[in-house]
Amino acid sequence: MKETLIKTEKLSKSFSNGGVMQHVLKNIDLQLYKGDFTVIMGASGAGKSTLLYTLSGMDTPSLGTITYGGRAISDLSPDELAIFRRSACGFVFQQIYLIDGMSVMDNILSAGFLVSRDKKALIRHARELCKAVDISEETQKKFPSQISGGEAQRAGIVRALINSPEILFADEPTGALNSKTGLDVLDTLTKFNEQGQSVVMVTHDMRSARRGNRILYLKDGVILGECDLGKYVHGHRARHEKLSAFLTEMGW
Amino acid sequence: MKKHIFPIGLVLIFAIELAVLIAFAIQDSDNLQDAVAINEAVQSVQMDWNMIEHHTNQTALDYVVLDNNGAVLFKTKDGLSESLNAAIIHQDTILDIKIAAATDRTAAGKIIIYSHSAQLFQKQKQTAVIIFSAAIFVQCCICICYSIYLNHTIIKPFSKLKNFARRVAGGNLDIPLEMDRQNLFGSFTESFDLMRTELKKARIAEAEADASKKELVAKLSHDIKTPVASIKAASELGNALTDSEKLKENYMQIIHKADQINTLITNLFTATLEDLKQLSVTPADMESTELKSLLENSDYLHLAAIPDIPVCLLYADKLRLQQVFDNIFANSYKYAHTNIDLRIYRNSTHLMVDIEDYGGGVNKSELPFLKDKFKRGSHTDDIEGAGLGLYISDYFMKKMRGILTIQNGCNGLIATVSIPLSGAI
Repeated sequence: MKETLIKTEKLSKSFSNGGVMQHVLKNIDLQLYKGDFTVIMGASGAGKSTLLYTLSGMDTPSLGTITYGGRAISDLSPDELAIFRRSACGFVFQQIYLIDGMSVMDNILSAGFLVSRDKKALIRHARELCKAVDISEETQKKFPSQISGGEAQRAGIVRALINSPEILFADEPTGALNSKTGLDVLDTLTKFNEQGQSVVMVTHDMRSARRGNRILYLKDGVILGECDLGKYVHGHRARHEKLSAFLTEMGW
Repeated sequence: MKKHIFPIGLVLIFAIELAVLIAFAIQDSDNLQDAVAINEAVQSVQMDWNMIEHHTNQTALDYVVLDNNGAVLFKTKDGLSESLNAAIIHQDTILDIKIAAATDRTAAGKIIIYSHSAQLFQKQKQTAVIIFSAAIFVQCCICICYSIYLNHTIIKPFSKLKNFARRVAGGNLDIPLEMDRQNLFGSFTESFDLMRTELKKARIAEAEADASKKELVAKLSHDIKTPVASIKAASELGNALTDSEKLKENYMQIIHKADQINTLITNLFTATLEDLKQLSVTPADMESTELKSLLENSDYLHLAAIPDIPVCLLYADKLRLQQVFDNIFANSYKYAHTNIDLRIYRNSTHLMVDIEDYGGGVNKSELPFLKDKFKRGSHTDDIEGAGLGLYISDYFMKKMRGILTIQNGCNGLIATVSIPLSGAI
């Protein structure tokens, strides 16, 4: 029996565009489980990123509730929501948003200082994470403009994990990377997931989607279907075929 | 007069404020010292000079007596100017004390008469602030009352008129326009309601004409079908009896054409049943909270208490849904005229709105036919109606992928409107 991390009930998100309401998410009932690598797929404009930002507390739902560990985060004040995001969530975006004027290590630590004041423990944790994602000590001292896109994204993942979040949200993390560096980033995410890190990733890339054990397909703001792929095994053909069949069925 | 009470009140307050301002402007400065009292004080001090410590103040003034060295010999109370410098700053009156015993009548000391002009000015200022604050408060109250009055007499009636026009445009003529004849637009809006009743009459007449047309068509079709059947039967008989190939061919031609006429008559009959399907239904996403205003609009007699509405996104045509609720409430008003119970709940695919009255319901045998075209309950003969309301409502709900169910409850008839959740179906 899996432990539920996030649960939504009739979650809806609407935006007003020139006085016309656009309903991007519609009555979504969803449960995200601890330790899962959940992948959200769908065509452009299906509401994938909106769902990710609403689930993570970056945006508030228009209707419905989101509960995290039995607590309704949809009712939290902006300040309480910010504290929730800092401590419980990690974020990896397509654009990495490292601060140019700070070294890689300082970028990582700046996120850690938002939650903890124990500098020594933070540096120790950051070094462990950097080692796990193959960021050398030399690279840690460099500035963002001096490192490759793949290194920058791996640094972004370390920054997202520095506060040991319960859940890591990734929005198209390989979207701005070439094939090789994208693969490195996916390997990194898979590695952390195998160590128990819960991951929710939005992607429209099938290669990225294969890394997940649970695939959700979103269409017009509704979860059209989901597919249980099971644990990721490199080069497992049946898994790939199952995903292809699911996406074909969904009209991808 | 009632309509002008607020502007008159405001003008009155302005007039009072103006009067107070003028009164302040022309008021005499009352800070001059009383010369007689001053003289009396000086005289009494001069008389008691040698026993100044036993001197008593016989005037209403406050003063301080100093010797030539500036030492205080006497004072009526504390807090007065006790030096010449302080007296000059405070604009007090300073006079010499001359003793009759002295040969040269030189000043033996000074008397400082305390000036109360500062306290007087402060008092006037306080009075002015209190009067103007009170005036502004009263003005604010009048403005708020006037806004409420305007909202009640102009904005709300126009809002009702807007909803009314929307319903009429949507074809719902059952709900009257609630208007107070006393308000500014009472008689003006009454004519709108008159228009609604005339339109309704016209619609009922049209429905009746439609019904009689249908009856006529049904009757004619029956009348036509009977001789056609006879022609066909006679032709079949003729065909069986004759040996002539030419005649057989002619009989077959007659039989074929009789069948064709029969089909055309059947088509003509069914076509009249399809005309209602011209009504367009365009569902879209809407928040469930919007149901509250729809139900409030329909329940214009306020016989139902609207419960909490489960929050979700619905897929419905707001205008048509309003017509459905309008029709159900109007039916309840017409046939039961009791309080109405509302229950709103949700399952995984629909949001259900139960509307139950206390009218005892209808005969069980009539329940399956209530949503049929031109069908009405057995106890509705003396109440006007065309028997189309529930038929159209059911049609609208089906078009929205929803369901309208009618059943007997514990107290009366229960109409359940099941509205699909957005993305669920």
